[in-house]
Amino acid sequence: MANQEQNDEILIEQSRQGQLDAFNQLVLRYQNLVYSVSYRTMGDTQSASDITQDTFLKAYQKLDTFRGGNFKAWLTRIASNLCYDELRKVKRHPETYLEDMTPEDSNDEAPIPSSADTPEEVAQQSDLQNAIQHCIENLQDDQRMVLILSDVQEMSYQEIAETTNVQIGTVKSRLSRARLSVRNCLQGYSELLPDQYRL
Amino acid sequence: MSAEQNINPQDYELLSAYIDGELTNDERVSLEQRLAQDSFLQHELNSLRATVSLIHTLQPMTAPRNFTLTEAMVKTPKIIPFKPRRRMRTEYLSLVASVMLMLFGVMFMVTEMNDMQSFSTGSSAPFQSDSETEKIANAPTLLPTEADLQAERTFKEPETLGATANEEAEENPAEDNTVLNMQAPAMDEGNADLRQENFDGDTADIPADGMLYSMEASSAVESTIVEGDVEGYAVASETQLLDTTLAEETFAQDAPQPMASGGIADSEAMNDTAITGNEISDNNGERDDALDEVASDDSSEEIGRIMSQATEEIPPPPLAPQDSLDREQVTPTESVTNTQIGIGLLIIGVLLLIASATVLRRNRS
Repeated sequence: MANQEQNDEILIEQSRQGQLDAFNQLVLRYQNLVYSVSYRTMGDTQSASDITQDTFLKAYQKLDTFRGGNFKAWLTRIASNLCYDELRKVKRHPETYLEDMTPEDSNDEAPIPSSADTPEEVAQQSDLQNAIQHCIENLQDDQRMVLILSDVQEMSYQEIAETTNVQIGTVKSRLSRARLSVRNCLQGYSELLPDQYRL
Repeated sequence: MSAEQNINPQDYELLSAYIDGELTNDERVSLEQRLAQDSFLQHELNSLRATVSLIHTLQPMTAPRNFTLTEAMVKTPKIIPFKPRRRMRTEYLSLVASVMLMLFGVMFMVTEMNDMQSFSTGSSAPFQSDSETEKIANAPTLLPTEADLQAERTFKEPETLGATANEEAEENPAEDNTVLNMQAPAMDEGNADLRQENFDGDTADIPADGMLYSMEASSAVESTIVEGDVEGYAVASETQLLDTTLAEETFAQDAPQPMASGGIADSEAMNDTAITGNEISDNNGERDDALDEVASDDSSEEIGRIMSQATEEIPPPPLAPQDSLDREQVTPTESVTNTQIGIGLLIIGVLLLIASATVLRRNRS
């Protein structure tokens, strides 16, 4: 992790000097993280792709404002703010992308089937993934972001506080309420839950 | 207290942070002691752990493509896709609209307040000058016509007549003196209808006190009526008895307030009546002499017929004064409506101002 941070600082400095290739190294390193956060927050692939591209473009343009520290948290903060903006926009003018209406989109959650899984097991896992994603999308925006950063991206409370620009106490409060809400929501899908995950 | 009531939101925060290893040593020790003693708390901890584990089962997302930047992308002007500029213009327009709405609301209310003030200072005669208003207030009430005034002058003063009639009644108690049966109406009473049941069953509604005076006068001067000259209003010209005061009060009880538009003409007519009344009072001496000559006679039927004709000829009282009509035209509902409009515009303007300011502040942040 420390080496990665040192590498990030070097690449950042080279990017500030106008070396686009150096910045693209950072893009390749963090694009899965940014895309995952965007998709878990928005729930559709098209919005997630747009937000991911805008996140890196904005990060390159605002690179002078980065004063060191956790580049991952700084980059995720840009992505979360763009997600909040898009969520507000969607609430005012709901839109549905044609790509999301196709059955192929549901396969984004489909796990990589192993040779040991039966088709029924694969389908059940897919339904469970969709149920969990559905319960996450039902959360309030601030609770949803904290839950995704903590339980999906496994970020620390400190990183979450830097990303969302709130106090650690607020992170704890939002996270506990988000988990309670998801638990109550998943109790409606009890038939999909494996035995070891019975709530 | 049940086990569920022992757990509060702060306890769930501790459990959640305990799962993530984010508690201090003291907090962790304290929580573990409680978990050992509270089975429900332990159950809730296990439930939250299972939830976190389920979320962890979500497959990691892989970017569908590379999102690396190109030279063309970084060279293009900055575009803020989620904050279009026209939204800023819209917000400023909303600010301006809210200010204008509030101004209009204030104008509505101020205009209505000015109208109400001018209306209240105008009082009973908004379309009259002060001198005209005073003249109308002091003048006697409206007379029907000049011809009727002339007819009225031929009758005697009711008080005098009443006194004379009583004297006659004392002298001739057995006679059916019409005057005795007819009560002199109170000068101050404004009875609109008086049934004269003493004229042999005729129960014509006498609308005016003046007519009652006329009847009394007619019965008192019946002897002066020339036989065959039923319409003898002018016969008793030598007995012009109607007092000025009597005339004024009579017409005051009968007629409503004069019309504003015809106030000048009506006041002039009333002045003429007053003048005539004064002339009549100057002849009181002659009148008294005439009364002495009056002898009771059984001519009630004749008098009744005369009075009924006089009743028919007297026109109805004039209409309500114009100022009252004008008051009705300025409907209170308009003022209420204008005030409501002003208040509504003010409220809408304030709400729009707050909303615009909030959105502007958020966009700038």
